[in-house]
Amino acid sequence: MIDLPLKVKATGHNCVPASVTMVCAYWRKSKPTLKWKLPEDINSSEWTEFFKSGFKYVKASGMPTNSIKRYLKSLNIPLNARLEHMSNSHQLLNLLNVDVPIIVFYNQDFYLKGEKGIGHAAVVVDKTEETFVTVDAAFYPKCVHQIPKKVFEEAWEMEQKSAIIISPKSIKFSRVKIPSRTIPMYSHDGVT
Amino acid sequence: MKLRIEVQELDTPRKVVFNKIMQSYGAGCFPQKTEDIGEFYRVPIGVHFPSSVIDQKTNTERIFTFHFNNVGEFLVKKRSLKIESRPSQSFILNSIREKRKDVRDTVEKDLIKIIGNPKLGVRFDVLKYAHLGVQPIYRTITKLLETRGKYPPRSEVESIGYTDLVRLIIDIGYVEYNEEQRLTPTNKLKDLFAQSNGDALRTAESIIGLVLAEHYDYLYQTRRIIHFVPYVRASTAYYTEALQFGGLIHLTETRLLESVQKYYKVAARPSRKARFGHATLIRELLDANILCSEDNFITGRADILDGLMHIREDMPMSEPPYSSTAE
Repeated sequence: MIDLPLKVKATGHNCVPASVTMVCAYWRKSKPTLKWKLPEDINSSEWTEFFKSGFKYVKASGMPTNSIKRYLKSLNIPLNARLEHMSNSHQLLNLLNVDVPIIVFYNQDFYLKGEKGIGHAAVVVDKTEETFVTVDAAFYPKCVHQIPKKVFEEAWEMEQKSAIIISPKSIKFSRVKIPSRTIPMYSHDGVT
Repeated sequence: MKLRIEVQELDTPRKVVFNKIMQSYGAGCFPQKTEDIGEFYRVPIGVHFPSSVIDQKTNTERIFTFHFNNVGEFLVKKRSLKIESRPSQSFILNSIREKRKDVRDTVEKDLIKIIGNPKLGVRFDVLKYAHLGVQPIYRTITKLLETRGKYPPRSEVESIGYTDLVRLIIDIGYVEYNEEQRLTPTNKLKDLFAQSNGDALRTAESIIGLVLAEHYDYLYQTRRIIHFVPYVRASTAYYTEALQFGGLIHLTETRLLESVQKYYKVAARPSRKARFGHATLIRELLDANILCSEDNFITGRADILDGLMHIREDMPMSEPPYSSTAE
């Protein structure tokens, strides 16, 4: 399980800057050799300031993912951020296997109440046989939260399996695009 | 290190729009039903908008999510699946504001009707600034009740230039022109006078409440009598918050001012004059029994809130299970 050293509390649309802060604190601890301007001590006021400075990017409709890049750049954080719509949950596993925490957007109202609602950001840090383990700022102070795999996949699918990958610039990604329709030659009867 | 990830190809209009929404607006927006309109796909978008209400006495915060549909729309080219047009961030913000305004206006309308009911005993006479605009109503009623038998003829009423305000009292059935074309009190006014123990001033206050309840829009929007507006706004802001919360809440003066700014598009930092005026305005609302005071916090009246509660059921709003926190 990936251990996020910093846990923060957030409500409403602030779940995104909260998740970004927690992931950055993780990289600060695990990659100390990068050019960091933030202190190693995650309890220092700079980290609180870092979290709070993210609020200015939060709009009435949420925090655009393009703003995350600006947010990191404005504070000289040596990390890259990218929005991806994963093809399946195995992709999360691939990243967890190399100790990359992933911010996922899933429909939390669906998970908690069974009805479609607002997309919510949380950090996936592990997977067990039956659950995905997340660190969720909305559940502070009990941030570590296990979500049954089946429900998570449904709630994640509602948000188009969106994920934000924040990682050091040294990690490169090769993307393979999977079409939503089966290519005719591979389909059972040759017809889509 | 190089990592291989499999991602979805953005090969449907919904996926294209969803991707753009995430990039440019945030996870609060969502695409609605895609429509095929010839060369383009039209994808309207909705928004989930969180709104926090705090009871400052107990330090309890509850987050509610408003769900608004059609706050903007995307046009996606059918052939290339490229986005032809999309709403700007400010357009979405304005749409949200407009939708919120609808909720606020419903509360405002019902609140005025409730506080206008004489049975609630709201003391309109203590709302000093508000009196400036409706003095003719006040004077007409007190004059009719105090100088019995000497009722003014129509020509005299019309000559003073406030006939439209007098017409409002006629409209709610408390005064009328008799056969001799003199302005006279009706039995309704006489009953109200008797209920007020023969107090002409109290009767006039009740009439002002009734006129407001029926004709607030006319007074404010047509006649531009704006003196009541700050009182109505402050009360509406409080009761809209309490309504979301589902019960009476306790706020400080500053927080109530912030709520007024939240529900009405007024300056984030009001002028010094307005800030001083705010304290007076709150005190007058407390004296008028529209708001109450409890342990140095501003709170409301249960009977007023009860009268508004039916609006809550129709509010496009839900509350996430984790939303309640005592700080």
